[in-house]
Amino acid sequence: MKFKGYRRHDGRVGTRNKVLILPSVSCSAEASRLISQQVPGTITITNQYGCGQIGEDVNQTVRTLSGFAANPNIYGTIVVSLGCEVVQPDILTNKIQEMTNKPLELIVIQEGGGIVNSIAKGVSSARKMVQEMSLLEREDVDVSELVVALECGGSDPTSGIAANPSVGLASDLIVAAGGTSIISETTEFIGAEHIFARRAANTKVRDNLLKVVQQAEKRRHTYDPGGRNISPGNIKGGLSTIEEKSLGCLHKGGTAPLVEVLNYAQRPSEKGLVMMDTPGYDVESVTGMVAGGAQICVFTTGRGTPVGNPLVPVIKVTGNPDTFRKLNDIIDYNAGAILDGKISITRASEEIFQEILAVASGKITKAESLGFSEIGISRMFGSV
Amino acid sequence: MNKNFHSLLITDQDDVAVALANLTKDTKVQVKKGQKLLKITLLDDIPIYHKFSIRLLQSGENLLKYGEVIGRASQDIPLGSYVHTHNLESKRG
Repeated sequence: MKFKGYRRHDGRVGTRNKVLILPSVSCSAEASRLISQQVPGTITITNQYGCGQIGEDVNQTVRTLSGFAANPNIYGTIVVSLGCEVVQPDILTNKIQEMTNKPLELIVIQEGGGIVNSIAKGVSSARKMVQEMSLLEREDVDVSELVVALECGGSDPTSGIAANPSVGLASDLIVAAGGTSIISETTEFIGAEHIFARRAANTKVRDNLLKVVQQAEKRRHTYDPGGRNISPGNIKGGLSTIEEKSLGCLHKGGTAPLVEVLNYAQRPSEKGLVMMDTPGYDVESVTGMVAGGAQICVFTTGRGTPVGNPLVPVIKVTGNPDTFRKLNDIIDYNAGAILDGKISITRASEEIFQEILAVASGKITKAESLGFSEIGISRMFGSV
Repeated sequence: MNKNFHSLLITDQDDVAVALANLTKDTKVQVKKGQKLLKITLLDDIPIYHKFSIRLLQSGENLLKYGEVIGRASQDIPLGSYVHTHNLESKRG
């Protein structure tokens, strides 16, 4: 089974071809934006962090930013640094170079002879890099190169009946073809973790899974005792408890064995179905999986959401026929046809699988056609 | 899904069915449970995709959907009742 992708210097394969203008800290984000706006073919990301962070939060930010640069959809990266931030430019560039040998340049604003000069230098480097990138052509690539991020947001009861079971079977097709699917959102394992624990490939995976779910549950009970784990929209749609939401959500993981549990923004070392420890907050969860190397995202929604991502195409699937009609301009696939009695879950899963291959090969999703590019880097502690 | 039914019992072990249309109080609905047809009179309005009970549940009893526990009844729930946050509570917070 093949799709048409971009083969990178490091051997990995992209579904998109972009140059990343990467701010190492919030203080260099506006300069990054001004560079990116002037050079078509580049993207930049929202980075609220990179300074005022401590301990594991620093590691997580470095892992996420370097993961963006290493993402196979990126041809090369221009790191734009301020100079004095906690995420020091050499820490970030060294980490990127550990992960990939793709083109990499660094601009340090405090050493650049003024902000206008730094931006001009960035524009000049970006124009050259984009021109080199433009010589690359898509080639036939095996589906086993794909890493698919599975996400859900704005869930309602149709998510667990129609959208997630269909995406789950599509994920099984990806795994059967030798590819990788990432399921995430640790809070949405609460009440359904026993099902995944049974599917763990070995005791280490099972223990890691149960550990991260327990940590997420403990954090929740510590900081929000008596609070609900589900959103007002979930409740309005008809979901009553976190267990009900989780059991519906986890259908999107299909039936494959779980082979690895990853840290936030960590690259999988195994192929097959893997789990990443992320918040249930969908934007931060997608961001983590993209930093972990996913080249494409399948995103199920009951209530509807326009969320996209700057690095990867996001395919929106709803199980709610009414949402598909009302929010047609942001939803790519209507699994609500299952509830209308028009198609089976198996048929929907095959169509979603074909849509994944088409989008991986270049078909533009609705979120992409809007230019939507949400990023939310997850953190554990407050700023210092 | 069979459009002749206005509700869906996801597994035969489930205590609640999902409304596939906006259903009104006093309506008699048929719920397909395996080969059997349950005939249930609704005690409440049930919004589309929300749940109603297909048996009497005692307060404190586990409640099953997807064949799995989704919480416990926080009060006695008569057959045909709307089941949501007012009478179903999470066991996990």
